[in-house]
Amino acid sequence: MICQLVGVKKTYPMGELTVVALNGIDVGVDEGEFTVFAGPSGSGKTTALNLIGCLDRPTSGQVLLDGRDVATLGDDALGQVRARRIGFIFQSFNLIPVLTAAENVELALRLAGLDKGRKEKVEQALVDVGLKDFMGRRPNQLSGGQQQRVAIARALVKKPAIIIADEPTANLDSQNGEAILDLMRQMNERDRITFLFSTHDPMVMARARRVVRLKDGAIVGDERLA
Amino acid sequence: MRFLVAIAVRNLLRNTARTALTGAAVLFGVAILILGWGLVDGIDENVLRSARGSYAGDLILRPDGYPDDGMRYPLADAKPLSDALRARLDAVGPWTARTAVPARLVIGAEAQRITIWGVDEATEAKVFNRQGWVIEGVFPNSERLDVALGSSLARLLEAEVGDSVVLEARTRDGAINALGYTVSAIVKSDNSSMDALGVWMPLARLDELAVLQGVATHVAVLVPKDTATAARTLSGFGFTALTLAEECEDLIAMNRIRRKGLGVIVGMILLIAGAGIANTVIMAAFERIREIGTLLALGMSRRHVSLLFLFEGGIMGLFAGLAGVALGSGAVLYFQTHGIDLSSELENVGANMAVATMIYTHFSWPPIFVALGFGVSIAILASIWPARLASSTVPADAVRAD
Repeated sequence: MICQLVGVKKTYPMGELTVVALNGIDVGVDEGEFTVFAGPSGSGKTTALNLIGCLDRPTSGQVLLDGRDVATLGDDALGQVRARRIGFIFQSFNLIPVLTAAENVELALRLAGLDKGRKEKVEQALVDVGLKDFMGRRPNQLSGGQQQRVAIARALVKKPAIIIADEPTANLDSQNGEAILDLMRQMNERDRITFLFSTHDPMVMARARRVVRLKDGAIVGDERLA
Repeated sequence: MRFLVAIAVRNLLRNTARTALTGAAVLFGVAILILGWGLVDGIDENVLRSARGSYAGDLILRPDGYPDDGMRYPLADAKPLSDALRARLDAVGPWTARTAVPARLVIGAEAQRITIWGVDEATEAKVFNRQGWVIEGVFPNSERLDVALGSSLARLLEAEVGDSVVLEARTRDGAINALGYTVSAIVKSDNSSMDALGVWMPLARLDELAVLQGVATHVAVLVPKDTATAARTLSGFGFTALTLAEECEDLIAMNRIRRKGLGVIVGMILLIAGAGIANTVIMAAFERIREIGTLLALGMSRRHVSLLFLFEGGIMGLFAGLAGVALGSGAVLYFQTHGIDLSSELENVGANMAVATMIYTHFSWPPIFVALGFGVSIAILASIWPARLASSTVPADAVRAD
């Protein structure tokens, strides 16, 4: 199992109240899965992805990545785990605006400390997402779909153990959204890269091989699709 | 690290207007520090140059007890030079004796208190470039009853070459004497005090007016090197010797106060610049919170995020500082060649201050390094807190920030 949440609880203080985002959930993801966390807004799917992605720490419980509890690691060690083992694709693409497409992809390799053959890897990653001719463009010179492709290339280039995508198609039109999903699925099937993403879009859910349904911080369904 | 620097530079170029405005404060702070420093150094040099070239030489001797400040020139305290002193002076270097006599100058219906400088025709030119002072006419010689007037005095009295004047003075014995003279030259000695109140004539002619009995009030000496030793050698003959630095000590001390004042002003400008930089970096941190979150999510360490913002502040400070160095040094070099003419400003106050009427700035490297270092340091220091703020961002929140 690549990653696993064991009895994970996450609460946030909100004024004098405490909001329970995840209420002691248990879920695991195996290598090569193409899994979606589905649920309405406030169900806890983004919180779950943040914990698996080492972007946040649980209030209680364990977050196991490759069998190791990452919740106990310090900031720098968590950063290293993110740099080397996890790829991110964000809803708003989150490219660095002052860097070109190639430099955005290269940034992931630099931060992972993967210097060997960097240029070739960047080129290949952008070729893989169909942006061979857009390497020198900055994000503001690319369409939303193209930006998300750059983000996918950035996530893929370091060959991470898992790619976490938080509502990757939410800011795209349906045509671009489908193309992005096709691309992710293709990477998953071709390179056995594990994808874990969140959505509340039925069209996206239909493309997944496994759907974990969350509601009010609890898992209410876990189904494997053909 | 180079990649971080490249990102920092590009981030600064994202909002060039804001970067330029923020950097302008550093730029002007650095430029003012360099120009001010050059000006104060220049004033120091000009004070010395003015005194050296107009009355003091490298070493000035006055009779023991003779006042060395203010505008008093008591003839009663003047003394003759002994043969022993003359011999010592000859051994030290070129020298000339002068005698200053307080007097009243009458031209038409106007009258003005002045100081007559009796100069030794034989030796004066060895010590002072008096021909260089003449801006109109010919310096008087002992064959005629001629006088030279300081340029500011001439302007005040609207006197011209060829005008007749009457000089009224007390003799050494206290008798009042008056004689008529012709203005043969208007001179500018680059000493505001002397130009405002000075009248020059040969000692032989002054002797007729004030019956000097061979006394001198000042002896100026040119000393090629080691003036302090020369000063000791020449003391003890009824005269007190002061080196040029000692002679100008009060003015130089005043300049030290000016330098401190300049430091305070520039320090305040740069502190304001620092506040501006801190504000800019904080704004940048808030505006780019999602980028910071993304960098952290991609695995950048908090230390490197912090460094990124420090680089931005530091690079801004460096480039603004370099621009300030260019501006400040350019101004210093310009005024070093062309000078700043203070004649008109000193016309009213100059009679009481023996300072140069042309101020030339002085270029040197230390102010450049100090100003640049100060500017860059302020920029980096101002960025520390915003950088920490940026690096303490929680990535899970930041990646979704608007």
